[in-house]
Amino acid sequence: MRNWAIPVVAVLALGVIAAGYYGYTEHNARQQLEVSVANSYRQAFFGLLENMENVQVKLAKSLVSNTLEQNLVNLSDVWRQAEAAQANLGRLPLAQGTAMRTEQFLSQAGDYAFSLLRKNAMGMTLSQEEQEKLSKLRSEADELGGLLQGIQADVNNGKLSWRELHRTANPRLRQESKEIQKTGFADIEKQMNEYPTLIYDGPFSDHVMDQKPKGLTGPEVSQEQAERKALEFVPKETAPANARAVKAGEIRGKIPAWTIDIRGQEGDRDNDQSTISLDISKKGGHVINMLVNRDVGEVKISLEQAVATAKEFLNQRGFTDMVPTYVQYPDHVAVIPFARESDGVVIYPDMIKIKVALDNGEILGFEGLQYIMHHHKRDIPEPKITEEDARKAVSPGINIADSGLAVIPLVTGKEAFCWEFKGQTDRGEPFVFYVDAVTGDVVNILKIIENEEGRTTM
Amino acid sequence: MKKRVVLVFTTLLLLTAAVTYYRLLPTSGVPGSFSPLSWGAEGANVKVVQTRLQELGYFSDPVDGIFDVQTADAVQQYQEEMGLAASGAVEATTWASLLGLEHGEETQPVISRAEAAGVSGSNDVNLLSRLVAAEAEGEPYRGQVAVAAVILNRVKSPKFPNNLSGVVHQPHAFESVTNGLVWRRTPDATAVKAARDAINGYDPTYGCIFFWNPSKPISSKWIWSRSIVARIGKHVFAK
Repeated sequence: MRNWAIPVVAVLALGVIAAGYYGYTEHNARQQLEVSVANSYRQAFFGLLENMENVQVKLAKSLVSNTLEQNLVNLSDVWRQAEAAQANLGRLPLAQGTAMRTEQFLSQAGDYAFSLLRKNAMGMTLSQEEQEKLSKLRSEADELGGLLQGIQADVNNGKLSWRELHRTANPRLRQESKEIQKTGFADIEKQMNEYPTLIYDGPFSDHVMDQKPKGLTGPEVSQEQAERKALEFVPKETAPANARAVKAGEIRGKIPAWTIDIRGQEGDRDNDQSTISLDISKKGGHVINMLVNRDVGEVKISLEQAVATAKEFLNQRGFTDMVPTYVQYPDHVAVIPFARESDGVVIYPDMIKIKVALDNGEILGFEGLQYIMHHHKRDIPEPKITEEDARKAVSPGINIADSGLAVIPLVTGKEAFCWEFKGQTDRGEPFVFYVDAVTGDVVNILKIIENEEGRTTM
Repeated sequence: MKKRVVLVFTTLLLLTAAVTYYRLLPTSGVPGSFSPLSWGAEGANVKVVQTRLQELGYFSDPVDGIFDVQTADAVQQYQEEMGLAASGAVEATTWASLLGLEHGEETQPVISRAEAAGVSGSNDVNLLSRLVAAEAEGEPYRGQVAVAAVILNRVKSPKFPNNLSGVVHQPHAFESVTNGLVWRRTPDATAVKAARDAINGYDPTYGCIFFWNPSKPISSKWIWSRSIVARIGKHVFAK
């Protein structure tokens, strides 16, 4: 061996050892990460199993419990456990769409239990029909629980690998191993799909999710009419010089519409910063929304000016009975929700939000979907409860500063006719109380949150 | 250069805060719902306080929005010198004094309800705009708002987790979350605007819960079985 070869071999050998060591530690680190990822999936899965077991037990108990207190306890447990089960299911590495119906089942089961709980809490007993729905829900939950137990066996004997499940759930992977996704979870989804969905008084009920627009009136409009409408609607100051309307797309579904872009003349540089686009409904040619994207400079105008500009804008476009509610002002714009006022009653469901730039007072947005969804002629009755009586329902800790009548939307998709009381606690925390003007029940309590971006309610 | 940007930014922040506070002051002059800031508080208001104290020479630490011991000391020192109750906490009087404000008329229009649909607060704006930036970069503005709206529609849907974080982190729900891109970029101003518009109720997708880019490979044909509502920019939106 030549003597120069010795150091070379030594260096090479060292290099191999170093690479080996590096590879080994990397491998170990990766292994550890994989185990911890698999562990968190396992945690979610076993959490789901436990939640499901509790849902089953509590549902069974609520079917036999007879006292109000017991009902409240059991139903609130069903609600809580079903929500937790839904959250845990959402943490599992399942391919898109393979657990949606199961998620929906859990959401609705919890939501339904909550709606019954609310009824119970108001002193009402459950109807025959509600009892039957509950008992049906129970057998469906039992079935779901059973199927999950089946998967548990696969998890325990290692037939289900979280690593494989995670890998194959990726929608970007184009491969055959989709078989792996056809685990027990796919069977569950198939089973759940056979159950009819629940209709009840809650935000997740199908009838609330599928509401039809009430304010979509008038004859069909053509694309040309929609383009003209869009051009007329955009305020002169906001639109570019010699603006023209261009169809940018079409909306299908429950509110068919044209999407119209407003641009400068061809040849002018259209950039994103000045693009204005509107959705115009095909039925009636209503403007559903207007989006304007531009950067807003330093604040130069006051909120009062912004509100006045927004009001004027609405007046000119035929919305003459709108009143401003609260204001939010993040990032140099003011977002002002207007509600319709009819005979002194504020109709909150008929809401339009206007966005105003606080640098020069231009209108930067119009959001009228809520208005189109809810606007219709309402028969507003005389309140059965006097203001005096309604006042008594408001917590004595609130110093009422302002009151009036209002129609408010409820989470159930319905509306309530209410006395509205605005006030604050002795500590200065503002609240709004809504007392049903027919039944006298407190329908909603809103806490007003004030921060550097304005006021919102929760 | 960077310093100047920071300076301009903080001044703007201060200005907005000043305008804001002026409008929030209740008529009575009693500290209204302005929540006092004290040790442990965090957020934009704390930054405003720190910036102001720094300008006045009471505070030399970095403006980080965290009300720590140094901030409390600076506040206390300021209060002592201004003849205010030296509590070390910023209540309405100290706040007004710091910002050079006087108690004014309440100029807000009447208050009313907002739809709090499981989404509120600046954390959510941040998370949502990150996702918009990562998933809808280069899309027209309407397309960016649409992506934000889909995410919010998922929060409202019974078929998905019921809060924003749950929806965003659902395994494989969003490519940019799966590959980590979403955390590596800071959202630009447009993405933030789009997220805010979506939170304020703009929904160019009319309730869609899916979007995808048809020019990219997707293994599941299943997605095409959903009912398509709109096509905006490169994305298809479906229910």
